[in-house]
Order: sequence, then C-alpha cells, then structure tokens
Amino acid sequence: MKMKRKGFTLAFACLISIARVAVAQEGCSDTDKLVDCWTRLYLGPQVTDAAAVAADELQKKTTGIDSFASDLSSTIKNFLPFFGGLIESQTVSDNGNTLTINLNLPFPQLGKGRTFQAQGIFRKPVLFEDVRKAFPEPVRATRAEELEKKLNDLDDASLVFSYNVVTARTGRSFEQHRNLHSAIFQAMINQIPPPQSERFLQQLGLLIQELPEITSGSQQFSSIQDEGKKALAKSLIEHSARAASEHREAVEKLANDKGLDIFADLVNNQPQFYTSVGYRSRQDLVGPDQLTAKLTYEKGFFNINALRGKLGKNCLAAAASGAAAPACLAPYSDWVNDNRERIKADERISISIQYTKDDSYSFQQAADHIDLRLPTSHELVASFSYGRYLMFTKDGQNTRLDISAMYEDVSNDASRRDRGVGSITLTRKINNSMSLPIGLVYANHGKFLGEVDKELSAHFGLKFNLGQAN
Amino acid sequence: MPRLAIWNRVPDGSTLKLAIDPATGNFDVSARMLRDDGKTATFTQQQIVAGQGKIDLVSPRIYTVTYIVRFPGAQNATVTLQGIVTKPGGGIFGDPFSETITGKGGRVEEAALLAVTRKTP
Repeated sequence: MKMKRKGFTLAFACLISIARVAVAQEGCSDTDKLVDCWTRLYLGPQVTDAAAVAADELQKKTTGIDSFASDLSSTIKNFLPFFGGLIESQTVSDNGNTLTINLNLPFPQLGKGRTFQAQGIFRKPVLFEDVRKAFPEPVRATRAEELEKKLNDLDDASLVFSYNVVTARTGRSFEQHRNLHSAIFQAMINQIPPPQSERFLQQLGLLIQELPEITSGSQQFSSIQDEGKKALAKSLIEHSARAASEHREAVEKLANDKGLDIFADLVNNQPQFYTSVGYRSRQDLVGPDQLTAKLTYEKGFFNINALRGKLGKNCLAAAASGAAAPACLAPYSDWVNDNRERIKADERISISIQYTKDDSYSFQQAADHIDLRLPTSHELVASFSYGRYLMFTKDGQNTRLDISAMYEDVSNDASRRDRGVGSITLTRKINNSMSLPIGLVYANHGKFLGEVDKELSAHFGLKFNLGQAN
Repeated sequence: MPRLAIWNRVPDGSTLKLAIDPATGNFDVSARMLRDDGKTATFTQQQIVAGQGKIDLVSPRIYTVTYIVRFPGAQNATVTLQGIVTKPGGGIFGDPFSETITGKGGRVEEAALLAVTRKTP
C-alpha cells in the first residue's frame, strides 16, 4: 500500500512538473504560506471583479413609495432593509413636504424572517383648512399668516407600526423558502463532477503526511526542506486552487442556466399581507389628531407559491428537509426559464382598506368671534394598485411603475367630500441605497368643500434603504 | 484571509466540526467531505447548523472538505465558515479555520479544508 502510494505520488509529480512550466510565473514562492498561495490563486482576478461589480451593480429591487403619508403608492412594501426613509415634496397638496423614516426590526420571537416596521412621518405643518376658512374673508390671509408663524416642524408627526404576516405562502423572506432553494441547489451541485481541487488536496495530504516539519497551512513553503517535495507541494497547491476556482465558476454558471439566478425574484414576488396602525399627533392649529388602521394584501403573479404548484408532490416532499431533491430540478428549470421575463417584471397588485378616525376638534379666537367645533369624524379609503418593473431599461429592475386608484368615503364629515384619487409613480434606482420616485396625483376634487373641482399635483422624492433586517 | 485550512499530524480520534455564523441569512451553504479511501459525505446548511457537520478523523487518513456557498439575494449577505479540529482529549488542535465571505446576486464561493491524521496513532 505504501509503495503504491509513493509510486502514484512520483508519477503525479512528473505530470505536474510539466504542467508547472505553464503556470510558473503565477505560482507559489518559497516565502508564501501554503494557505495564502492557495487563496491568492483561487481568488485570482475575481477579487477585482467582485469589487467592481459591487461598486457598479445597481441594487435590483426598486420598491416604490411605501409611506403612510403619501398620496402616491406602491404595490410592494419593503420590510427587508433595516433602516430606510423618504423625503417627499409635493407641488400642490394637503400634506406638503414630508420626511418618512422606516425602521424594520426583526421579530425572531414570532419565527424566522418575521419583521415589524416602525415608521415615523414628519409633515411640514400647515394651518388646518377649517380654521383658515373660519376667518372672515377680509382678514383670512392676515390671520392665517399670523397663526402659521406659530407652527414648528414637529407639529404634525405620525407614528405607524406595521406587522407583516410571514408564512410559507406570504412574506418576502428568503428564510421561508431556504429548504426549497437548498434542495434544488444541492441537486444541481450533484450534477457537476466533484471539484478536482479535492483530488489535488488529497495528494498534498499524502505528501505532507511524510513531512513532520509541516503541521499547518500557515507555514511557508520554505519550511519544507526537501526541494523536490517543496516543488511538488507548490504544484499541488497551485493546481488545487485553480481547480477550485474553475469549479466555483462551473457551479455559478450551472445555477444560472438552471434558473437559480432568479430564485430571489420568485421570493420577491411572494404575496404580502400586513396590517398597520398609526397615530397622527397634530398641534391644535394643524388639525385634530387621527387614529388609522389599514389592512393590505399585495401579490406578484409569478412567485414561489405558483412555482410550488408546478413542482409536484414528490419534489416538495423531498425538498421539505433541504436535502438534495433531484425531482425538483427539471420542473423548476423548465418553469422558471419559460417565464423568466414575467418573473423579473414582478407584475404586482395591491388592495387595501384603511379606516381613519379624526378626533373631535375645537378652536376659539374671541377677537375674531370664532368658535369652531367639529365632531369626531370617520374616513374609509379603499385602494387598488398595479405595478411592475419596466424591463426595457438597461438594468431591468431599476425602474418601477406603480399605478393606483383609491376612493375616499367621508360621508359623516360635513366639511369634506367623497372623492376619487388616481396616481402614477415612477421610481428610478440611483444607486445601491437610494432611489428617486416621481409621480402625478389626480383627484376629482379637493378634500374640502369649496376647493377646486379638480386637483393635479406632482411629487418628487428621495428614498433610501440601509442595512438588512433579515 | 485564507480560503484554505490545513491541519497535519492530527491525532487519531479527533473530530473536525463544521460550523457557520450566522445560522441563517441570504446564503445557502453546503459542504462535501472526501476521505482518501473514497468515502464521501454531504452536509446541508441545516445539518451544519444542527451540529451534524461533525467528521470523526481516524488514522491514517486524509480528509478534504469543500464548502460551497451561494448568495441568492440582490443585497449583500455575509457568512463566516468555520472548521475546528478537536483532539480526543477535548483540546483544540491547531488553529481553527474561520473565513468570512460576502456576496450577492447568485455569486458562488468556495473554501477548502484539509485534515491529515498521523500515520501512527
């Protein structure tokens, strides 16, 4: 056995010596540590590539506006970044300029991938319309100006809490679908021949087993006293590293060919069902305080749920543990590659219903004989939105279009009118953490009686996301 | 940081334990073990996290482990791959392997471990 091993090693050394001529210039040196040389040759130019890709690649998932304060809307609420926000400016609006800050906090007590969002909204405070109108016409502008001088930046602030229901069928968390990915990925790896790098490392093991001076890979090649064995060790390290690099590329290429490159898009297209509760605190001059509750359901059409329907029971049963599931590979690849464009487009709809209660309100100003009293009022808003990525752009998922229609029912508020509002929003990714939403909002008339019949406003914003919640 | 770890002259009866940190994230880890007599074993991320990625090292054998990590998400994710050789008596043998890798967008990365046991126990 020993003789056989030695003979094999020598024969292998001869073959490698020939091959070494080709790689000598980029090979290991005497002063290299074994593991450092392997790492350098394995990583090769991909270190530079990875850095360049990281710097240049725009983050793919543009999610649109998801602020409670905005009249614009999106079909996709983002529970994934740890911290995010939106600065929005509106040319004509009841809301004026707003700053929205989101904090997505992991909620592991409720299970993997569960997230809880806290949203702070700061609107530029404006004088309550009912107060402004309460002043007689001749003094209205003057009084309004006097009162607005008393307002400061924190006089109109909201705090909104949202909880995203994450299950195997809802929520955009990768954790819920890890086993399926793992089962497909593992089955795919098994289709590729094992990495040759491990054969070269086995030969290296055979060599250093005879070298008591080598105890770890952190030693330099110069620690090996026998020049022939040192050269052989260098060759084996060089060939192992290059074989590992080639294997890595082969796995990556096969994963893309089999459609695993858009697994994340399938997760992104999953439905979301979330509930939000918010409280808007306003200084008396700005208006009554508000309590809001909202239920939203949103859904992309080509998602993991749709995929599961195509994979079959055998595959899903095998995939439940995350171990290799060969039965999944062909149906997964076929379905994903047949629907690639539509998966990446993320066509998505969103429906929501929102209830808002305005507290009772009173405002008195004896000098102008004003005694304004408003009862508690209620508002019900139903909305429907449709959105998708505009795939004709160079980077595909950098631009998102969302179209929304909503109806505001304020039947029990004498000072306001029911109205319909439509909006169109285009969100363009600027870089990895920022995007630029622009939009138009049309309402068939203003919120308050006596306002213009039709209202059109343009919105501009800057949205940012930082970190990862889960 | 090195993507390769080598332990030579490992005492018979030691164990090589594979681990990852954090346990979950936007990455998928698998590990393949090859012994010089042709025996192989594959460990999924779930198995590694559950502590099942443990390899008994017997003499005189050569063991290689290839970690393969895929990062499926659009945003960067980071995982630390680990390998620790524990002597039969319980002490740590050599330097533990710990390599932190970041990736996204379907990137695949690999790391390798080589453990060579003593020829004579």
